[in-house]
Amino acid sequence: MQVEVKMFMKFRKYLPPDSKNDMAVITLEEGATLLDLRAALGIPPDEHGGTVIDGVAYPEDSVHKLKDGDSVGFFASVAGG
Amino acid sequence: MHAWAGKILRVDLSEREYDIEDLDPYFAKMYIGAQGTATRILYDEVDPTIDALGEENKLIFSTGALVGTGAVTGIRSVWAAKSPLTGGIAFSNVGGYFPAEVKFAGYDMIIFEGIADDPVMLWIDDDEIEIMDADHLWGKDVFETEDIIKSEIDDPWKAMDTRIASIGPAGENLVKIAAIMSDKHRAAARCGIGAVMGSKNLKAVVAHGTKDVSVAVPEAFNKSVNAALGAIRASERASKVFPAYGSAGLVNFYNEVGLLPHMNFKKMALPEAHKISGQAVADGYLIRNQGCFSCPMSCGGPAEVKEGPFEGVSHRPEYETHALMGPNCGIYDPEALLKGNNECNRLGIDTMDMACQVSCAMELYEEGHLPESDAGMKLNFGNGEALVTLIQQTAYREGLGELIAEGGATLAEKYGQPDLFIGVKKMGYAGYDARNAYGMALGVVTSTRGGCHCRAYTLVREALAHAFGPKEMAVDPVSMQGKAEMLMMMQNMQTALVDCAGFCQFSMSGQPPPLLFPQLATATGVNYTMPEVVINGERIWNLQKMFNLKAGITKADDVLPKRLREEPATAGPGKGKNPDVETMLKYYYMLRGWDEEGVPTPQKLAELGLEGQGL
Amino acid sequence: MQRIRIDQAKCTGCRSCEAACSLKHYENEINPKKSRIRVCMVAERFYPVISGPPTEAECTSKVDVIIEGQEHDECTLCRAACPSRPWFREPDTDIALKCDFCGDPPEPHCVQVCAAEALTMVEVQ
Repeated sequence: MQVEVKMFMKFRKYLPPDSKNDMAVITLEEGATLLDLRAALGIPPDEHGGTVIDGVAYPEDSVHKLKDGDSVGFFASVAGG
Repeated sequence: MHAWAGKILRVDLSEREYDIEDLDPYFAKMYIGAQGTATRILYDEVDPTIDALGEENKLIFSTGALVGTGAVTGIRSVWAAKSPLTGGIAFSNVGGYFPAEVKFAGYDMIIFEGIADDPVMLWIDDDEIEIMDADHLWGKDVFETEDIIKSEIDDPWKAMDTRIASIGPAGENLVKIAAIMSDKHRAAARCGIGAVMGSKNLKAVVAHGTKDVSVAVPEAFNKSVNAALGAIRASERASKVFPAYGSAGLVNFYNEVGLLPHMNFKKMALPEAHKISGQAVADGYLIRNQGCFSCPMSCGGPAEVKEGPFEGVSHRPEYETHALMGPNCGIYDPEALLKGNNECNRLGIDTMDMACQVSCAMELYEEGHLPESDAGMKLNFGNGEALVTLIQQTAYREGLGELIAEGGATLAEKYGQPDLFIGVKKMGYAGYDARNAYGMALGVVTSTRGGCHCRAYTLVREALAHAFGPKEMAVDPVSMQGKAEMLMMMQNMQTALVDCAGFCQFSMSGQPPPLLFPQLATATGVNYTMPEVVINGERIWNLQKMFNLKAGITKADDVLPKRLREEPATAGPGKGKNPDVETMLKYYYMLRGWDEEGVPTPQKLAELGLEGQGL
Repeated sequence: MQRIRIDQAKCTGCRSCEAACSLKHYENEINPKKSRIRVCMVAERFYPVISGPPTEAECTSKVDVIIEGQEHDECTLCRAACPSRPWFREPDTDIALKCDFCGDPPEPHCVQVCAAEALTMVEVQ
């Protein structure tokens, strides 16, 4: 299956080469989780930050199952207001 | 006294006289500082039914208890009065350097009474107080005003150590969304506080101080400061991400979870948001970081647009300005945002209310209610030039600016669509779409100063904790369960321990309450317990509520804008739904010990030591 | 020997150093005007200046300093307590102030509180 990733802030450095607009499409095995996606992108476990899929936020260690066509945003830990 | 300077400067502008009073230690302990001490003085001395722009209103500058101590981010202070915008209590928070200079001159508070017959400024140089003519400054913008005042000081080092708060043309022209600016780019923005200063013919307050601020237990205080600094350093969020992107680092994340409003709260989660995020401003325009006095997180700083129609050096905008002046006006050009922010700072206008008026005007125009002939320009969503023009017109009450200057739904009503003004209690709505965070919906509705998000940042638990932890803090953003309890606790705690103490709310991501409390206790030497401090917050909250009730602001004003009540969310966890604030409100009133109309009961007031303060 | 290195480009102007310095040297008082380090603010830039040996008279041979293209009067960034300006002299007593590195071995409190790392400790010959 294929998922789209949108990288923000420090996570931009994990984009595959030649990515445009800080986005890329990643091919994963069926049933892959968010953790698998992190691994596929080469994001080390100590690179902290959260993710959002279809408007819902998930923590960095989530084993949420991805589905084909998901769009996943990676964010550094933000604060303020 | 420690931490507190122990003095109140009371200035009678009508008589051009002043008095210096002692700050009562028991009063200081109970009301702490900033909005707390200001609330009690307003409550005791100002009739809530008076004309906010008349002689009877009082304008109070009140420093946070820890301002000047070097407590971590201990700088936040307020300007307070009866609000000409909402008709209720006004307190507008500000940091920078000015509050510390007032404290070093020896004052916790300045109370302005009456109206000067000609424009004046107040000079405070330690014990030397002078009410001086300011005819030559009237009409000047905020930046010019500061430059002229500093250029008139002979000694350049003294000029560097002199800090100024002033109004621009907007305050002079009694624009009800005018701000009081200090250190050029720091705004006490909300509630139309700048118009109160303008109504008093007070152009500027100039402070230079050489006195000490003392702390009660220096070794323990030093330890508590270093503990807080250590925690901030250890937090990637507080020490790296926040300084790098400012509070506007939230823009992209909030867009994804449906909290960032687009096109006057008509749309959410549009991909264009990334063009105008904090990341975009940091990458393309930020020159360097600048922090307020004793702040290690430095979210501000100059940002430059090098060429084009929006050319110039501005100051990095925070999240609210980004959200409301950017996507909520359909503007995705960071250069227009930087220019708009700078024009508001220069002319002395609240960016948030201004942007809410512009987004309303744009929707009125696009929906055909507001003709181009009235506007004198095209007012389509996304029109950055129109944004800048409307800001300038508002400061001088020209064109549509005459209506915008009255604030609230004035403009929207004129064109027959009052519900297109998105706000609460006539104050423009903060940049969070209530349909994807029900605690925040209740928070904005119950804020004692209007459509404001600052009194309890429930999104820490409703949104941020879900992605960034701590996990045990995360709560379902679109459930009503437990929201009233959570909100009330946060409101009481934050009012006292953060706002009145003078800490910056932004710093809580790095120094949570258990690190704030020891700084307050060791600096003041007051033998507080945490629960006592929180009860002080509850007392202050109830007094603010009582002031508003006496001013005629009732349950009927505790209401979400129609759009957020009736048009379902189009994205995010609340997709397809709307918050039911009315139900949450009933429970919230009950928890607060208020009756069904939201009036504090005599028992609750007695419990807080406010016997006999009922309606 | 350890000394304080100043990287002005990193300074955010928060003046935590001024607060920490005065608290260190005055028992329980915070007062930037009694600090042995001051943050000079020129054209929206910040230049931390640490007080050096005082002088009894204003100097006669001043040169302008250029930092990142910005020209400064030497007096602005001078380290000496001097009769020509109020910095590095106690406002009430006029006593000249000089940085003492908060003791020997040095443990300057200004460096401890500098979150921006504009102030750091370095080993010098």
